[in-house]
Amino acid sequence: MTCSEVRERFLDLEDGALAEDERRALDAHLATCASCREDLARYRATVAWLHTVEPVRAPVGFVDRVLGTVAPMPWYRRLARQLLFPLRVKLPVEATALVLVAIGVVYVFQRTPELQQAARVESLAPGPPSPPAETAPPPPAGPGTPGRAPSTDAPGRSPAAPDVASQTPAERGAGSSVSGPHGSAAERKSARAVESRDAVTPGRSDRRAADERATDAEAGRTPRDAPQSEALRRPGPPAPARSGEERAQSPSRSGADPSVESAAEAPRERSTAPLDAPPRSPGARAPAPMQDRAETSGRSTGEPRVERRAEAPARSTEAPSSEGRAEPGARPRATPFNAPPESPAPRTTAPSTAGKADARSPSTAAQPQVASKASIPDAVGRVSARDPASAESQIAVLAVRHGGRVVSRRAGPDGVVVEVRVPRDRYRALVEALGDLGRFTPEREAAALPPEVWLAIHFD
Amino acid sequence: VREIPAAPAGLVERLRAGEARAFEELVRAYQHRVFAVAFRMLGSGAEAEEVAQEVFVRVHRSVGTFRGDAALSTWLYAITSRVCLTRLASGERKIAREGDEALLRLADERPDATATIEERERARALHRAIAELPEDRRVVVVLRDIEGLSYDDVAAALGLEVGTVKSRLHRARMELKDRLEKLLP
Repeated sequence: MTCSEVRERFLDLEDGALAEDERRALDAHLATCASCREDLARYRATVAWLHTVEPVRAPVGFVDRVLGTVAPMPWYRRLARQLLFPLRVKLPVEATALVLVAIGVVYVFQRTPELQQAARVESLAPGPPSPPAETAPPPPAGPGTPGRAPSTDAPGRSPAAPDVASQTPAERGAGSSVSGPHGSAAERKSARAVESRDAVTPGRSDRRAADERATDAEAGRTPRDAPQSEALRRPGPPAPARSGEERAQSPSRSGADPSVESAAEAPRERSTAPLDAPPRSPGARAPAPMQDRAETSGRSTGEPRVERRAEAPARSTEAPSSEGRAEPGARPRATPFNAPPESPAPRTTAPSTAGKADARSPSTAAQPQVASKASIPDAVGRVSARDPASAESQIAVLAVRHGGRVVSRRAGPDGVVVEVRVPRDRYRALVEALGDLGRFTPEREAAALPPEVWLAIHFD
Repeated sequence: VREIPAAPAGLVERLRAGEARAFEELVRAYQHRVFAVAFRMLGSGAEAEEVAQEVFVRVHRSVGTFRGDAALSTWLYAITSRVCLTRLASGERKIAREGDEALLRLADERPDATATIEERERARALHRAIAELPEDRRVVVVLRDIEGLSYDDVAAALGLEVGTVKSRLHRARMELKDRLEKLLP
């Protein structure tokens, strides 16, 4: 018997399960092999040691916990336990529940227009179909009026002073859609979506433009085609044409360029004059259908936005020729929609719009402040109150309470419009407070709000 | 080796009849053994309690199907071993393994307050060596050498042949012998 065979029989040896002949052979080997003897001794010591291991006791209260576990439980507890206790069940159930909740959220979102509207802060409420704004007949041509000097347009302003408020919502949307420092990612995405939608669906913006013209007509204003040519009145060299896509893809030039935002503090100027006054129109007005489209993309009211363009000279370098793609057959456009107003080139290359602008020039020249107020609010909402008059009267109190003020009130085509300016940090609180006046429905909101938010409130 | 107490007379019948008191008696009689096996196998007090509770819950549910061919204790050990091995084989062990630390604490908490430092070290080494055994061998050592089950009961509890049980037990003992060689008396 070898040492290995002997060691394989240690267990049987200890258990006394060896046959007699095996036992004799094993004893004979152990008598002559000291190594196996020592190994057997260690084996026995190990087994003896194992038999002395102290017993382990269950923790105190274990019995009660077990009895509590097996005690009859209500059906809902049994159900919850079955659903949640075994991990192999819990994980799939929870994952499934998560997916279902996500699907439910998406379903509710898609089925709830209010939610979609709130999400698309830059979008407008769809209006009735109307002829495209670009094809609308321009106002009667009149004596041409050269573009006004920047000093008269925005006295005391520093062209280098950044002012986000001077941007139109569309521009702000473009600026913030990709790399704009303001606004959340959702806002940027929304702005980008709106801009792209407007760029490819001229009918939509056309409808808006028509609505705005109707609004203007009711309010005694000139038709809203001013934005197309306002750029011509602005100082600075004409900017190279760039497509709307380029503008959308290079927002830094509109959102981050200090010169763009250096425009001016037009909102404050606008706040001091009636908004329904005709915009001061300089001479040169180049046809800019896409500009109008871009502007209307973030607009729901009929306020002209001419001066916003004029106050952002550097933005003239952006997306000037985007209209060419959206409206191939439009009137000739020799000047970017944001071209500097003082540039003579637009006047020479866009005679039709110059005439159109000239039609307004008498009034606008006489009311320089009016033109500076022609822009669009940063946010638009609608209050549906049982007593609109009472609600309207409380707007001023709310505005003051939130550090703002009422800047204008006018009767629009679909009700009274009260415009309020409120500090940006109090804007949300004001919007929430508007809910106390009635059912407040936000219709549009700029992606990046200026320090002083211009809010137009429609009362039904 | 501890002797396994026989189940009180009529306990199985009372359990089958759904007598709540009988189940409580069962839990009180076998709680430490079930917990000990789970603790030795899993190395975690919290996890061992969780497994022990699961064992008794299973017993409570299925006692009606217990035929009584084996001893009640063997049935309990069988369920306990199966639950432990299943848990060890699965990836559900979310509870951080206390492993050696728990076993070493166990060694330090021996009731023998007069134990010397050397004895404590030896106990820690033994617990560590058992914990480091492969699971299939560890469960045999636990059931046979620590809990004192017979080969037949171990084989019945684990669903193995007696020869397989002996073979695994022998290998486990030889491995422990080699690991603990320096600490053996």
